[in-house]
Amino acid sequence: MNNFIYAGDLVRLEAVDPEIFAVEDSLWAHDSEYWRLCASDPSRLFTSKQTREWIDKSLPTSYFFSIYALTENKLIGGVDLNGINWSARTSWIGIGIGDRNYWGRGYGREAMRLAIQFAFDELNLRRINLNVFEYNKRAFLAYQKLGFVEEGRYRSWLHRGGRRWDLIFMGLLRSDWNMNTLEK
Amino acid sequence: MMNKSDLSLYDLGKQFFEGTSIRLTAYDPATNPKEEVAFTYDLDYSFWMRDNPARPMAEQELQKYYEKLIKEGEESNQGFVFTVRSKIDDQMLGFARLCNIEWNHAVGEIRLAIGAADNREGAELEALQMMLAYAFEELNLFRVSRVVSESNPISIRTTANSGMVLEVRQREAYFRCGKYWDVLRFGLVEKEYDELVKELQG
Repeated sequence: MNNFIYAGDLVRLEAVDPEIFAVEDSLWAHDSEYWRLCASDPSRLFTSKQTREWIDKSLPTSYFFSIYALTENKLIGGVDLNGINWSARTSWIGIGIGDRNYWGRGYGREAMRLAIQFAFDELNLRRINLNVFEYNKRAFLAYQKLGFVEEGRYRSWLHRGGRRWDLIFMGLLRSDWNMNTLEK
Repeated sequence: MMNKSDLSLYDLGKQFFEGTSIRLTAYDPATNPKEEVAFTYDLDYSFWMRDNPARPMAEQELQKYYEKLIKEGEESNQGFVFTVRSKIDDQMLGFARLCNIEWNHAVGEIRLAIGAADNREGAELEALQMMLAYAFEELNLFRVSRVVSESNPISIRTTANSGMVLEVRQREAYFRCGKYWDVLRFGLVEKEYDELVKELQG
């Protein structure tokens, strides 16, 4: 049995320290492109106090982890399991790599893999849902590589950059995941 | 090709809250929970009232639930919480709401459930059509969604009959009655709604 489930080759997950996370998260929100990749509400700015209040509110109802790059021991983002339905054994998952130096290099994907493993092996969930915006192709491909299946799209759900984009729904069943990890 | 600036498509005299056999009224948390309590024993109905799993609710609990819902709705400009009533005897039949509105994208979600047994399907379809008209013609939304569990065949039928299009099937995402069911997500975009209006106008 593996008791050290929170670390991979590139990243480790840590409990969120609201004070530390809030300072970084407020800086990340300043990057409008980052915001548009992971949030549908209008890009705006937050003081670390406002961010702190948001974190304090969401911590009790979700499994929310900080993501640290192992080599540099640097906080680079967050991942959370939220909206858990205990009778259906489902959860939503959301991730943001706020530090753009770590985009497209497998850090986010590994953090997702650790959070998914936690969801299936420790929380005993059997399905994970996520949403990704049509224009976030990098994330979409990463989710596919993790085994997520596209289950449909809300057509023209977002309005950004002068046109409309779909909201993609993806799902990962524990059976998909087992197959996926076995194949590796 | 007609669009929203063409006044001949939408009727400016349209009554959004008066249908043929039902009407929509403002939900009153002081009096309506007494009428609604019995409906919450139908788990497809109480599914919408609280986080899962669904369960029946007491009058006082419903009252608190609606007070919070309406207060938060008003604070975030989403105060669209209605009671569905029969026009014949003013009986409460269920609720209808527009929620999860994201104004910057002009999108929203319709939630509605009919708890009364008589002509459930007819009342649900009419309420859904009224909410679509309200969403597109009055709130000026670009698209509207509705979420229905596969375990609820009447709602699947009414949603499809309203003209909404099945867009997403989340596999085994809901649990009821001892088994897992898919969750179906429907959507309707502005130009499809306009086509429906034109069809009705002949």
